[in-house]
Formats: sequence, C-alpha cells, structure tokens
Amino acid sequence: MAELSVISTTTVVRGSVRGQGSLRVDGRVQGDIEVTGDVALGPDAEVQGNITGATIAIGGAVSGDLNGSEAILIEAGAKVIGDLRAPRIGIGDGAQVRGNVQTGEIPSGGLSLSNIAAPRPNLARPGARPVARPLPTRAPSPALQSAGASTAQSTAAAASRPKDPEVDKAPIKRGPPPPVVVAPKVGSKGKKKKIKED
Amino acid sequence: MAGTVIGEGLTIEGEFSTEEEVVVLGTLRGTLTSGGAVSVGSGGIVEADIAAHALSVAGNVTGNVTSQDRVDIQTGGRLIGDVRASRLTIADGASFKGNVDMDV
Repeated sequence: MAELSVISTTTVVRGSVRGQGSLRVDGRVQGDIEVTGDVALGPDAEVQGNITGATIAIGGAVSGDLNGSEAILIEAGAKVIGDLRAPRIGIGDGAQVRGNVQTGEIPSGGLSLSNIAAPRPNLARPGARPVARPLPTRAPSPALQSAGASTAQSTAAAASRPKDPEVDKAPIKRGPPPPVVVAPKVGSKGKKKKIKED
Repeated sequence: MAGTVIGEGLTIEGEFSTEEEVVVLGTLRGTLTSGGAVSVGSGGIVEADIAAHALSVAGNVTGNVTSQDRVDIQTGGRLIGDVRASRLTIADGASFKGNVDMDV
C-alpha cells in the first residue's frame, strides 16, 4: 500500500480525491473521496461528497454516502447525512446520523434485502391474484358455452355468417387431429352445428 | 510533518487551497494555492497553476507558478511554465522551460 496522505486543517479541496493508500482529512473536501486504504476524518473535517475506502472513521461532518469495504465507524460528535454501507458499522454514542444504514457484505446484503422486501408484497397479493386469474378463464369459457349453447340460441348469429361453409371445409379436414389453435376449433364446432340446423 | 501530504498513488483533481505546507508525492490536477511552502517530491506530478509562498520542485510540474518568496528546481526536477518569484534557483540537472519574472 502507498503511504498516508493528509489533508490538513486549513486545506480546502474542491474536486475529487482518488487513489491508493490511506487518507486523513482534517480540512474540507467538496467532492468525492475514493481510496483503496482507510479514510479518517478528524473532528474538524468537513466533507461534502461520497467517501469510499476500506475502513472509514468519521469524527467530523459528512454530507454524502459512505461505502466501506471493511467497516465504518462513526465517532461521538460526528455528523453524517447520507447512506452507510459496510460489512461492519459502528455508531458511537452522541453521533448524529441521518440516512440509510446497511451492514453485511455490500453485494449480498443489497440483494438479500431487496429479495426479502420483494416477496412480502407478493405474499400479500394472493388476494388480488385470484381476481386476476378468473378473468382469463372466464373469457374463454363464455365462448365455449356460447359455442355449445349456440345450437339452442338464436339463428340470427348463424345467419350472419355466410362464410361458414368455406371456413368449415378446412376445419373438417383438421378435425380429426386435435388442432393447436383453440379459437378456430371453437368457432368451427359452433358453425357446424348451426349449419346442420340450417 | 504538519500540513497536507498528497501521498504516492493519490490523485486530487480540482481546486486545492491551504494555509499550510503541502507535500505532493502523488498527483494534483487543477489549481494549487498555499500560504505555506509547496514541495513536489520526486515522483510527484502537479498539473496546475501554483500560487504559494515557496515552491520546491523535485518532481514534475506543469503550470504557471507564482511565489511570494522563492522557487527552487532541484536536480531531477522538471518545471514547464512561467515563474514569477523574487528568487529562483535551478539546480544542475534540473529541467525548466518557461519565462521568468523576478520583479526586476
């Protein structure tokens, strides 16, 4: 690892701080901090931006998200406004934090939480699902019923179908093997019977 | 070792200002303002206009330099840019390209 970098008390950085090694901030940084090593913010430090590092120790003020690959430690007197994500997170007595906190492995932690959150609404939905399912089943069933019952129904429907003979020829040939398409089959059956009636 | 240290491997991009000493062993791009001494170590890279009380260059600096006190370009150091300072030294083996204004 590279050596320690220090941003001292009177220092103001407007821009990004990235790279290898560890960083101690006692001054102000307006921009993102992204290092491979540890990040430590002194009590007078002020950071407006996201911080990414191995272990992040905060003693000052941060407005931005913290992403620690090892740990995040919020010390007493620190003030953090932003989300915290790290395998281990410690918030000391007297620290002020506002934001989402997520412990555990960063990738799996994010997935498991979303997975846990997703099924719950699904389990609550079964009440809604039966309502949605009958609709498709009901839609075909009236067609079947009407097709079967159409023999008894008015002949007006049959009379309005002069194309029936043409249509029937093909379905008759297809008749013996079960057709793949349902709709023609249903229609043809009804039409056959109607034709017989005529 | 008071002041700010930009360690090897670290890169700062943007405006950088301080009242204290600055040691650059990594990379700094943008602008650098310091009320103290600025030291660019061997391996350090600064691509920025520098305003400092004093500047010592053992690394690589590209940018215009303004100093209230002095600018020293050490052996192995490399400075490309105009220098405005009351005192300037260029060591044997240093590289420098630019104009010099010593308030004569």
